[in-house]
Amino acid sequence: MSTPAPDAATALVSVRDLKTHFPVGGGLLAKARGKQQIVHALDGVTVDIMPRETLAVIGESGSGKSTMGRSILRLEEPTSGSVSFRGKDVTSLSREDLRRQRQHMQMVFQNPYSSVNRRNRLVDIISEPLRVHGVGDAASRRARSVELLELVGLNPDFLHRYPHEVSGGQLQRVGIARALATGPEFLVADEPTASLDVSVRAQVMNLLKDLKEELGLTLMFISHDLAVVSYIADHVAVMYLGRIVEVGTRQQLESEPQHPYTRALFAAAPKPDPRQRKTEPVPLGEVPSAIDRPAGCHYRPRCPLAMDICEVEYPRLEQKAHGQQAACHAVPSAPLPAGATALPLTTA
Amino acid sequence: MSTSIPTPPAVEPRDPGAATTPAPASVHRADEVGLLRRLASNKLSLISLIGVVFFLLLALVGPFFSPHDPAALGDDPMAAPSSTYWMGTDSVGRDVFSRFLHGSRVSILVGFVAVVFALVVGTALGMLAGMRSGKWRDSVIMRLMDVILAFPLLVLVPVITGIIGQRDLSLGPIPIGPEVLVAVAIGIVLVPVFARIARASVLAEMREDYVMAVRSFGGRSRDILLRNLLPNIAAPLVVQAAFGLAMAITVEAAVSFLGLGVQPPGASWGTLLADARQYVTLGAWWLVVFPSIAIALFVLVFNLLGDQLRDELDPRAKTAMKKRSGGSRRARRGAVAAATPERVEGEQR
Amino acid sequence: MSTTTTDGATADAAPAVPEVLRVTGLQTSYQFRGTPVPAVQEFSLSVRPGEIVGLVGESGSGKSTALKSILGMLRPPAEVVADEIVLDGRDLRGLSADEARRVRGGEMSMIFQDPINSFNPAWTIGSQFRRVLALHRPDLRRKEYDAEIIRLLRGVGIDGNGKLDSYPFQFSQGQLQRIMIAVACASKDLKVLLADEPTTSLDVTIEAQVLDLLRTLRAERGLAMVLVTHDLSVVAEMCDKVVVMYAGRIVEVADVFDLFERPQHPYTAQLLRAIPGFPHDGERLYAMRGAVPGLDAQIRGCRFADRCDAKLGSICDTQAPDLYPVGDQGARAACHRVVTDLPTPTVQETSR
Repeated sequence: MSTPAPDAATALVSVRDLKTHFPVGGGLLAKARGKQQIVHALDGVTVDIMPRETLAVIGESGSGKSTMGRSILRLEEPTSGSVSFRGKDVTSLSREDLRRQRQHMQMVFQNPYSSVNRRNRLVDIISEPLRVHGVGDAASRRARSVELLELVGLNPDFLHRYPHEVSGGQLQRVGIARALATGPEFLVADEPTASLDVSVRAQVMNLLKDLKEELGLTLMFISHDLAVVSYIADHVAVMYLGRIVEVGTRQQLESEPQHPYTRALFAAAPKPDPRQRKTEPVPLGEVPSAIDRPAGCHYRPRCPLAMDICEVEYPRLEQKAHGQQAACHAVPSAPLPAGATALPLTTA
Repeated sequence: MSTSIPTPPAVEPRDPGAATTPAPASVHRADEVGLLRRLASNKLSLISLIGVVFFLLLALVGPFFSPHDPAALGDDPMAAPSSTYWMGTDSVGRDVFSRFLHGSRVSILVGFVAVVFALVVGTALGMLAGMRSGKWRDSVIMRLMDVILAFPLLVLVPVITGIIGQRDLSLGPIPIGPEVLVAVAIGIVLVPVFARIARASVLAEMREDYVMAVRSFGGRSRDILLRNLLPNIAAPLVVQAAFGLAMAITVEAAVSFLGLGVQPPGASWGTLLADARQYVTLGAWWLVVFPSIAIALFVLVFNLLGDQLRDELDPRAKTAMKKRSGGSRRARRGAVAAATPERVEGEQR
Repeated sequence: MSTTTTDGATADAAPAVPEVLRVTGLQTSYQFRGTPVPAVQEFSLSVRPGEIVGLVGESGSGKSTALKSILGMLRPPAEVVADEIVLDGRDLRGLSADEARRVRGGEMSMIFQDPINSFNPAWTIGSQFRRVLALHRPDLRRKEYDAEIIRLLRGVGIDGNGKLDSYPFQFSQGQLQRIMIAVACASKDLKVLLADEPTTSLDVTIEAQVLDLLRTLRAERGLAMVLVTHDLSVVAEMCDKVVVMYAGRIVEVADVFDLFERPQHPYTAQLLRAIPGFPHDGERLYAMRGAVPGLDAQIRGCRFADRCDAKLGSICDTQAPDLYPVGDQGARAACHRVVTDLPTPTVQETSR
């Protein structure tokens, strides 16, 4: 299987033209006059995540990668589009059905200290999802918490500690344990290692990788760190200003990045080797605001390959030479290899 | 001695992302167990705690020690304090000491009922508003609070007693006395204070990921509000409750003094003062001094308690004081200060 | 053993070049619940003109504290003692408050991780900039300020025309970081730039721009820099010399090429192994066990002993290693292995 998702039927999570827009500024008056500005945080994303695979989403701040994770879990209400989980449309679930559905799709947050209630002991933190869903009694939830602690490599003595009594890495393991409490199939990890020290980061990444194998999890891994993504991903989606500009397998993207933004991103990342100091020119410009995006291709103002058409038309995400899909007018699209179908862009 | 466990002090901001979240320096339960003990270990707190206990005893058991019937007219009006009448008698010969004991119960009761009412209602409204900040529910609640705040206290309390009062009310079998009405009126006036604190605290907490985390694993609103937010915003509310008590007592005294609060023949510190009004110039100092001292002491004690509680509980005050990473915050403030030394405080968000 | 064949960029010029900044015996403590907790101990540093020295470590390593101590930005209850903090021949510890203020931002200035919090949101960029010029540019007349600001901003790639009356929120984070660099470099006497995680809060493409800018500044003005970071990739990209800190102490000082190719301290070696490469080679990532000890931890021996993969034995638990010299190029490592002549941990353990 090379591209993510030829068909939605086999996908665990299937995202279709998902848009999440936020109104900003202005009070009631501006709202009434329709003068509110809109942030196009997520602007039409279509992607499928196959069972037991890891889709990494990379992008800079403002690219909409976190919004995408949250919108898929409906922690942000999407403006339009759909998300289906095992064929069930998550976007149309009622509040109570959604609440039940959450047992199957969980999230790991970036900052472990912020994502737990600092007044609760770890046992309460880990077992809270079970309590909320009325699973078992206090004793059985506690037993499950011990299991979960062991699963993430922590000693059961930790049960009665408070968050400030453990290190960041340990607390992130607790966050993972909590996310696994209800036995979800799908996990969204939003920069789970970004706030950890280098020496601890590797522990958490190995843990996530092991758990994924052991429990057969499907993972959406959001990160800005290419090396981390490279370690954990099967497929990679590169986001820029609310849209996916390139998506493919990790190998495809790493060996032959097609979109000029992907190339710039890869070139810009410093390497942990002084012999590989940068020789290429540094990418120009900054990510424009998601309120006032450039017309046509959003990357045009920074793009070394920009052409006339880029000013007027946003490029479609299409199959390119090495099998991955990219949204760029300047990169020639490739004929589809036999047997493969392009990712549907407009259909549901 | 605190029962808290020494942990690595968060001296340096944790590197990349965590630098934005101060290490959880806030209160935790282990600390709270020792709260009373820690308060008692500090001289000022100890004084305020003793004062609190004194006033509580005064309200609870004081009236049982009254040597005379507080309403009984005596035959020795305007008597100066003596061994029979410890605080003298008033114009109709009632024992001031007995009236003081009963009045203290009423005043303190009114204060507590008012604050409990304001705390409960204000916290609930403030949290509901904070959960939906910027939405219509927030606007409606907070504008209503603004309306209440727009009126002077001393005008609003009698207006409210006027509206809901003048009728015999009862809560089931328990008749609601006029004092309770006054208390509720004062409570209503204090609601915005608590609502604002609760809303601001909720807004601050909503920035933490745990609120979304609870939602992400299927928590209901009540899981978020009651189990997660409430314990985390309790500290500043408790502190404010102590200040609120002092405030409620003064409002009650002022309103009753004006004759718009507790009605005669009921006694409270305010009515005692009101009764004394015309006789002070005649040299009946005992009518004024004792209730005045009681009010002043009460306000002092609860303000002191509030200050001490704030030092112990309020995470912000606490981190500011104990911030042993002392450098880091100040240094950051000094950022451009490396170049611009005369930067103004307050850019720290 | 370290016969370093450095290429030009490493600025390993004749050792005769006097250092512009020399710090020895620095110790900084914070107060925690009434007792002083050492955050930095036995710290020393020397920086030559035009040299970029990386100060790396994880949280709690004391790297930022060391930097702030050097600039004299820590106030009580933090306590800073040092044998010397010499900037261009002058010991900063004896300066009056007024003189110290002129040195800060004049001869030595600092840039910070978070550019947004480093500007006062209520004042325009121009007014904040002008105040700096008033203090550190006595050579300019008041009416020349704006032209100079625009010139300085151009130096960091920002067209300042018409933007001096803008407020900080009107700039992006990357722009603000560059403006902060321009502010820090406003003085003509600037000799040393201290950078505290200057790119940590920036995106990769913006980080690359800022790092490029710092390199340009070094080349154009011969500035010496101390770059505090937790990111070894940034060190590899930028630095000539590296100081590695762990739990408040220096564990290794080395030329950047030596550090990445022949790390002498097991901590450095293990840290390097824990960074995932890009693209990833398919190997399972090495993970260091344990976590950085707290500052108040009572440790008799080596502070890294319980996480060390190359522990020698009981000596590591009982005796703290000195910062022993390695080779004759000024490299040092705080590991008993250095003096016992055992092979360094990354080199495959060939028997002696």
